[in-house]
Amino acid sequence: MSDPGSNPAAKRIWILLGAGCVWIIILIARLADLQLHRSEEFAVKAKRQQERTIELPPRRGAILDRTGEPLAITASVDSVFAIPSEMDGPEPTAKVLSDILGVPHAEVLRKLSDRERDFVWIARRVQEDLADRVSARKLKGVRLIKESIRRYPQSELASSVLGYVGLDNQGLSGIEFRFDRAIRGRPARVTVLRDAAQRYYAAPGRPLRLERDGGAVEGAALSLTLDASIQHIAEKELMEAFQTYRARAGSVVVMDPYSGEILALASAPVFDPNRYGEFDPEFRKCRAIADVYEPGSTFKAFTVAAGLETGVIEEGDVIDCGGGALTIGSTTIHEHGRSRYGALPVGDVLAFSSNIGSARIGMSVGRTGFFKVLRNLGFGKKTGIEIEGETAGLLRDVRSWSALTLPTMSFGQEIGVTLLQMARGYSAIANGGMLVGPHLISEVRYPDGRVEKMRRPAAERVLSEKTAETLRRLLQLVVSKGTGKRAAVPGFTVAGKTGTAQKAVPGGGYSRDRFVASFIGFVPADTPRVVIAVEVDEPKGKQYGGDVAAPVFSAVASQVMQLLHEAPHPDESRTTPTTLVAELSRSAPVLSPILTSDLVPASTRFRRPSHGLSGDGFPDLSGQSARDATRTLALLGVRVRLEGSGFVVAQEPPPGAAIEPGTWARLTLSLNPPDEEPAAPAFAPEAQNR
Amino acid sequence: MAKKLASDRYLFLSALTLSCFGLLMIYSASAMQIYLPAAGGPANPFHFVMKQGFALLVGAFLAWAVHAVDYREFNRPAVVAVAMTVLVASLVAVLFAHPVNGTRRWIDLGMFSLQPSEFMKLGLILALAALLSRREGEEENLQRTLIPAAAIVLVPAGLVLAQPDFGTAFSFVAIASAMLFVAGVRLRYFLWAALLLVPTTWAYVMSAPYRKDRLMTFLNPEADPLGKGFQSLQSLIAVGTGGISGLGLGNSKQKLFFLPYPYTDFIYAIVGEELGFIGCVLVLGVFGLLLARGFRAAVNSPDSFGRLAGTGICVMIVFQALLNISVVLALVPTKGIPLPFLSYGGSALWADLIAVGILLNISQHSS
Repeated sequence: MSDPGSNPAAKRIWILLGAGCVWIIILIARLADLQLHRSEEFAVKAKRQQERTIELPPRRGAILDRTGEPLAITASVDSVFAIPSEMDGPEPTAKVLSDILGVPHAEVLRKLSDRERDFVWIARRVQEDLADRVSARKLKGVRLIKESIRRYPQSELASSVLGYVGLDNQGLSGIEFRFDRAIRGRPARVTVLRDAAQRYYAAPGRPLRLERDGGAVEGAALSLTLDASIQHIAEKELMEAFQTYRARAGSVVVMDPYSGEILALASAPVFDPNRYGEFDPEFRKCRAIADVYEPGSTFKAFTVAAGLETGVIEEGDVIDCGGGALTIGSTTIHEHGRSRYGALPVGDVLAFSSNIGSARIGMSVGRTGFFKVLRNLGFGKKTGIEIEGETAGLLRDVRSWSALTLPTMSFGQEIGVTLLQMARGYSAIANGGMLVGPHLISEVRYPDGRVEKMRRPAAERVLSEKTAETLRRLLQLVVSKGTGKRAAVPGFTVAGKTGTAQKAVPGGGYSRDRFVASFIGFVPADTPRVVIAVEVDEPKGKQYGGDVAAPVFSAVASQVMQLLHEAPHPDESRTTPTTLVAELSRSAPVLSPILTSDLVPASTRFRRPSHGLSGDGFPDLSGQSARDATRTLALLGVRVRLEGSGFVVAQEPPPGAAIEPGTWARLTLSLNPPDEEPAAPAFAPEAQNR
Repeated sequence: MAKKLASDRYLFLSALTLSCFGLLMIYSASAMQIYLPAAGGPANPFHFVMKQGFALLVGAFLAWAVHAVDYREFNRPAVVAVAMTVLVASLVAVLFAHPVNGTRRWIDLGMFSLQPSEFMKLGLILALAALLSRREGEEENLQRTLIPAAAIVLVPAGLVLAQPDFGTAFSFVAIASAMLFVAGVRLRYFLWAALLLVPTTWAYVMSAPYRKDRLMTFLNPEADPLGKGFQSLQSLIAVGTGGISGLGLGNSKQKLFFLPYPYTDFIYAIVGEELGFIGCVLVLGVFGLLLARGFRAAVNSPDSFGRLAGTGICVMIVFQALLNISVVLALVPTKGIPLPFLSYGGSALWADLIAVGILLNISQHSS
């Protein structure tokens, strides 16, 4: 045979080989295009389908009261899920799960029978004992996973302040909503391999175990200014009045008049944030900031303040109360209950709550002056407290006032306020004339140990110290002899004002049977520790503030005074005199020397007993005034029986005796002045008030 | 003059390399199948590689045995007749088997199952070679050559189409065409055949929705990436992700059930993903070497039976390989053709190894 290469068959085989080579070259070109040229493009596509960034939810930060008592916490609970494809037979498993968890058998069976699926929820966030029982059965293809859940261990306590969270732990109202970003924390983002069945792998061949909290940054904890005990007292007393008088709603504010710290913010009715869905939205409102009402007589304190501040009246003035009627244009203003007063001293205008007296004072102040004082006191503006849903109230501009606006506003009509605004206004009277910013958050504690103190709004002088001091004195008359007698607190002087406001009827005029009963005051009157504002909306049976709200004030105030000395977290910066002076000086750089000297002793009044004091046993009270001795003992949690009047000449138990909580002490008083002048600065206020 | 040579070492080494490499890739591609989402995956990650390893041992023995037999023994009419009878019978028998994934391809022999259509390729090559080598000079005689040749191809092709298995039928036609071409049939006959076959094929493709879908998918794979274009797209993603040197052996992510059956028809995509351009080109190179050495043996064969059989075997292995790779690279529509030596599947491996055995024997003879 000839050379194989020249054979026609061989030629055709080489043609085939050539074709094969061309094909191979085409394939290599295609490979080069895919793998060298377009590799990035496919890598992106691959990544998109193969990798998944999963979020590991963080643990929501706790909300604590001022003493560290938890008000909202995050707990871990088990949820039950099943992997149907791992199961042998769904029927027995479905029976067991349905029996333990109370989920309908048919539903479980339907879920388990879907063999295509790799994951079905059976029950989420189940009770611990049920989860334990499921786990103990070691069912094939049934597993538990930890999920976090928000819990409010104190149930209703402060619920309208705290708010609540939704299913995904997102804050939906209250502090939970406002501070959501801080307390939510940062989820961990973990990139994991994913297969086409949506299952996750840490490394080839090993399905990833999702650690619930691994890597996620926990949310910050919030420390509130609220005191759980005071909040509890406020809620308990408010609820009692709310129920007794079958009221529509109610609220109580307990506030430190110097710092603006809110110690309690109670609303009625209440709800349980653990089960918020079961309550009507009306139940979830924080009424002291959300409800606007016409304040009525409690507002007269500000009218008198405006009169004193603008100098149109003085403490000793007597006001013509017109014999019970004041006619302006075609309208005649009457006193409450058609009382008739001829002329009343300014103090009695407040004590007996004269509408006409207040109207006359307001009218002599004039529109512009009155408006300015009210505006300065913060009416018509939000206070800036850190919860959602605050309303600004309604203070109309002077230009839209009618002829009746000024006189009626002078006794608390034609103006819309929130109870918190009122409490803040009374705080200005209590603290010597400074408008403070009410606030609820004291600090944010980040999981890395960083603590962010909340910046407090600077206090602003809105009333002169003299005006405030005069009002403190006048408002005592309300309790000592006027409409607010039932607000009295044994052992303490109380200053405050009752209010019984007829509710405005839509379309004009006022209701005859629907009232807002309120009492706002502070205690002790001359050395105030707390401002307490009580409001009961539409009480039935009784409607006077003096009957409905004043007793709530009294009950709350007496218990709060008992409690205050035991505050487990005495926050030095809050009540120490130096800070207060510093703050006041900073905000009012033009304070006169008199004012400063006035403030130094004044602020010492708020010094809380050091921890050492109670350990020292009974102090020696001899020579002290009854008031001072009572206060000292109250701060120690001791109740006092007084015999006689004047200065302490004998005490039982003797100085140095051990103090048990709730102890009674008996002080014998005599009018003979003590031999020695009291040396401690704590007694200086007496001199101021004389 | 006919001389007795040593069998071609390159041929032997390329087949051996591809088989062993195939074993490695099958393990890489199939181990994850134990995590198959729905129940039905194997419990043992070595399930597929052990079965294939066993098939390779048996297949290597068969190849060794066949390579020791003078290839001309297969030119005996009795041998060809018996082989064809058995193969056609088993292709008919397969049609009565229990369908797997909607097709009837396997005869269940208990321990393992056989796919007669893979062996049919070999039978067809030998039968055609035997026929054509007896018709030298009258290749284009319709009655004596072309009609018998057509019968040898089209009867098995029809039976395979009935399974249905379009890809294998297509390779029968391709192998036969190559052999007829080498036998000297002029191109115009192929044109005539094409004029007949293309409309028939078109009608056939359009007659079954899944075949129509495959074609449409090929023409526009991104139209429905989660549906019918899924396989092509996933295959391209796997290959493309590999880049120049790949993600490393065992590191494919596409085998996590994005790419269905990554250890069979799409194993080359996993090669591309794990070993990159370099690995892909090397595999192509080995097939190219196999083709060159196989054709060399065919050209050097002292008789036309050896030439034709050698050609048929080379085409069978390399044509299939290139077609499979073209499918993986989405250059042609999805066919269902395995990659010789690499794809999981015992029947194909045995057929290919036996074919290499015959080729090795042919390479020992030279004119």
